[in-house]
Amino acid sequence: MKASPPPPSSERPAPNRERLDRRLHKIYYRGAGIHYFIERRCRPAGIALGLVLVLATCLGIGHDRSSIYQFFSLSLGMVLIGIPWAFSRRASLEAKRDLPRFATAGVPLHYSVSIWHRSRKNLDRAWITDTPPDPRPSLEAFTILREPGENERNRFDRHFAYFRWQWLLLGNRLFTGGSSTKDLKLRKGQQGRITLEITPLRRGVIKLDDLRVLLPDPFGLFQRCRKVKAPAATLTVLPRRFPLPPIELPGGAAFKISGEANTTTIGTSGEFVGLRDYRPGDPLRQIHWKSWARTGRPIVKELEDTFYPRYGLIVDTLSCVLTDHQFEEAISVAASFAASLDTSESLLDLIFIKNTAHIVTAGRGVERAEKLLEVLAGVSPERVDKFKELSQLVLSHRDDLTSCLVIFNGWDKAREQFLSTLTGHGVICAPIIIGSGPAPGGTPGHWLESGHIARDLQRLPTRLSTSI
Amino acid sequence: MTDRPFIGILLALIVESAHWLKFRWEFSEDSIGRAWQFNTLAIGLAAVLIFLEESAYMALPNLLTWLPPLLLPMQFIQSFGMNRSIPLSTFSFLARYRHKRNLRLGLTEQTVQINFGNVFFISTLIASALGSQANSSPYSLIFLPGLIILTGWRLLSASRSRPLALMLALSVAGGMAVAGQFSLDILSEWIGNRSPSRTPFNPNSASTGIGKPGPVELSPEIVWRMRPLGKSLKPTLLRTATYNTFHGSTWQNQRIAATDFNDLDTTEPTLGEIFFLMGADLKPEAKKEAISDSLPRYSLRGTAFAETPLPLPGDTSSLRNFELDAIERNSFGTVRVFPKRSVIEGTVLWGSGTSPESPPIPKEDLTSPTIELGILRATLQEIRLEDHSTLEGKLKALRSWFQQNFKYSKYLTISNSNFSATSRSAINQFLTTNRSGHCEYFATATALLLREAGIPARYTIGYAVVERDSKRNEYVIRGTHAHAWCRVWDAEAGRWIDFDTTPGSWLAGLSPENSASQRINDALKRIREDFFLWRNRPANRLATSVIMSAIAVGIIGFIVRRLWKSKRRLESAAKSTSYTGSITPTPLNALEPKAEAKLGMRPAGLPFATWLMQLRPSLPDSNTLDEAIHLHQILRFDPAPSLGTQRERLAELTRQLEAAIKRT
Repeated sequence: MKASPPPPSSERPAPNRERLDRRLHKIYYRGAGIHYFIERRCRPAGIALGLVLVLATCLGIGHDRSSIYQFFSLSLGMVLIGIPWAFSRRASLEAKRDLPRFATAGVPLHYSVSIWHRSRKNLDRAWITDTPPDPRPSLEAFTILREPGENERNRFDRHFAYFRWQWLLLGNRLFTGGSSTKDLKLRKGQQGRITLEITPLRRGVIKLDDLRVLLPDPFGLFQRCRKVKAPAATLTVLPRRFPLPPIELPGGAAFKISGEANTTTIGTSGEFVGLRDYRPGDPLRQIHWKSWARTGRPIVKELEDTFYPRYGLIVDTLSCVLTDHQFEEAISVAASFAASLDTSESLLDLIFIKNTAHIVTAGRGVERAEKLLEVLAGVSPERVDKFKELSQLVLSHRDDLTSCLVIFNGWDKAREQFLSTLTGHGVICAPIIIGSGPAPGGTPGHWLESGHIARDLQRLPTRLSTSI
Repeated sequence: MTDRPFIGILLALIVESAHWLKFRWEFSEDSIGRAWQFNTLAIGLAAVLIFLEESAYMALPNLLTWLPPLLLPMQFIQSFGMNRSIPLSTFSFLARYRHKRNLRLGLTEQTVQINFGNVFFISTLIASALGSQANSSPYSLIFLPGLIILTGWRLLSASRSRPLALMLALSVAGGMAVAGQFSLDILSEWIGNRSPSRTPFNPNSASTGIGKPGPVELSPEIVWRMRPLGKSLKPTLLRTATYNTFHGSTWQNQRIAATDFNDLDTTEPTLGEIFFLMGADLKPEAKKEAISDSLPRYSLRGTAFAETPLPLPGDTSSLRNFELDAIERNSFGTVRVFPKRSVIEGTVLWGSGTSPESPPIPKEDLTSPTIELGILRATLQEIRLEDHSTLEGKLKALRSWFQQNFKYSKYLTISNSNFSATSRSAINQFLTTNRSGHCEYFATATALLLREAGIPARYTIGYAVVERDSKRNEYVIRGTHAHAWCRVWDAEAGRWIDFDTTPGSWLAGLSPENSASQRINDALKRIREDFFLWRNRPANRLATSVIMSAIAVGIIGFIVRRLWKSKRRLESAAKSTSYTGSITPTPLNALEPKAEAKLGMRPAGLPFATWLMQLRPSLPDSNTLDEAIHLHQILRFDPAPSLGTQRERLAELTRQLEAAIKRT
């Protein structure tokens, strides 16, 4: 079991390493920029033709081969025609995205884009692409964060940290796709509509403000990439969710049958019991109008009082390790529970730290579960231990809570202390801990191995074990 | 590939049969990885075999000609697999390792998919530009149009929009290709003329480095290996060709090669032991003398191809045990071979005191370029050859003059200025002011001086035998041992003799210590040639063929069996999971056979509409398909009674789709 590491700011690398990181970041940053520039203008067929040119050059040098000369010359001719052709194409377009409000990480999203063609000439064979924001990581992220399993890499890889750069680059990409598959054909002044598909890769808010039109040469080797006038649009991406097996939280309906009133009452809207005379204070919606008409006096419906359990979903947002990979998994697990719990029959309090302790409630008559997902979409990792503040908030709602599901991002003494504080005050907690590798001995609740969350979630028992 | 048209046709049939065969295989990521490993192994083996068969210089082009058949397993997966693309990580061991690591750590990764058909298409085009027939006139005439048509077809199948623009652009590119080819031909010729390094062998012309400043660069690669047999001595100079007309910086032989080269006579003193005789129309006694056991001899081993000149001493009498399709000699004693295989070995008998060349031709063997006459006469006055009465004396005086007044240099500083009426020729500069050069200067100047002195002389190129490999008891002949000297007519003896005036210091310049990389290259060459000869000995040839065939049959049989089994499994799965309840057919169901030709058989469990959606990218107007599928779903699943108009409309759309598929 590992103690909570100090915040990253105090774990500054050695000056030499810092200098090297700064230099590597500069090289990778510029290299990625050049690669991105070329990738947007040179299509895969163009790259393949470039390789063919190199090969034909190698085969042609020092040999008298007319077929290879023809092959080389044709390839070169295609390049010499393709580049000026592509870069002399013009298109003046205006567009407007028709985006839904929410998307889910990992789930493809289709949306349409209306396009107005403002050029004087007809537009033929063009594609539209929505570009994700620049995914290149900052120097700070490159210096502080570590790729999962980086310590297993060889010395060369660790020294040049190229795989860390790639991992960060991939992690920062907000979505994939975004390119139209059909050719865009518009006459001058015509309006068109195309459908784009993107797959958001991570939760959060995506600002789409870089719509481009791609204008290829007739061979499809190179293309011009022009910006399209379009108002920026935002999309909230809800956290990625895992399928859950049927789960009963501690203190649920089964617990209620025993008659103990440790659940919160939310009105009287249960089963119909009978009719009775109106008493002052009875809500109007319970008046039985037909009986009033028949009897001539106000009659109300008598309903069985029902009780709804109120659960706490406590999310540990502290992430001090050199990767936020596990933190993201913790958020996804929390989102999976928030989306799966039946909030028509219960209330769910999402409790977490984001600068300060927050509580958001969803459930019958309050908010929909999507509200919790939306909140989780915006949660960011905390670098400073604020478990005390979190435990105070939970304890202040102790009397309302049936039980708490606590999602831990790792396990250490601070977390152990936090859990024992809650259980010491009588809060029933079902801890779920996300950690790397197999579960160490003595951990309470359920252990989910990082990287295999979906598998381990399916192994959860129907009744989660509690820690009291 | 141009010399293996049947393999090409067979490959085309296998790949294209995917369009009309109705079975497919479900290849997993692991299967694709294994297929690529098999492919890599096959390419590696082919590379080794090709390296053993051909010279290293030709190995890459030859390997590329075999690339389409070698890549067939991957193309088979692409054509007959259920997936339309293959992950790029399949082709890299490191990428596969990274993929597994990411899976283990639960990390996401960017998967790049490629259509292997494009790779196969490009490799086929490259292979079609190589091979022995690639430069033949009918093929090179149809190659470019064929290349343009195939490229256009491929590009058009990827995107159907703007076909006219594509055709126009391809036509212009084709024109540029024609212009480019002519330019490259001219450039190649120009570079060949300017380079002081040696050009490929030509029995009618030898371009020299005379008048071309710069370093003389020769390959240190082993060309031949010779081993004196018995107690024989080694020859000093091995001639490959002789020329007798000097013009500019080139020595020429003005005979027509086709008529000047004649097959060598043969004799078979004992059954199966064939001798090629250097002399023509020899009498029985002379024949006996030419194959006499008393003659010194050496074995010669090396790589040869059609028209390769054999390095032979000037007084070679016969050749034995060479496996050749033909062997020819011209009137200047140049011998060229047409070997049965790329590595040859045999025995050379020499030292008979005869020379196979024709006697001197006064008009040619005593003539020097007019521009050089002045300096030649002045030089002869300086040497005073006329003071010596015998040929031997004259040759001795000439050699001594060169040894005393000239030095050998492989860095040439003399520039040919023949184009200027007032400037001096390269030979003039060499004989007067510069007096430094390499063997071609010495051999040329000597030949011209002897001619001016009335002695017929010719220019000869070949190799000096200078490097002994004592460990293997053989002499190694490298490109750096290439040499030039003269053949001088000894009127008294009635034969041509070797005469070399290059200062002996040129031998000191040949580095006996080869670099590590050269030693590795030497070892590889030895292994290649020795293994090749071992494999092709009659006793070993059958055994190696049987073993190789058995391995190939075993591997192919294993693959075919596995494929056959997995195909049957796929069919049985389709049967077991097929829906047996009632189905409401719609006119769109009639499209299935046509779509199968395009998409392959519909996999078990894949809904008809989803399967048909795969046609979208290839259709000019996908809205037709969308509407048809929408109507199809209404007719099948809408509980409301269907309208006749909907069915009619769907039938009409189906007809349009059929026509569109036919066009694609």
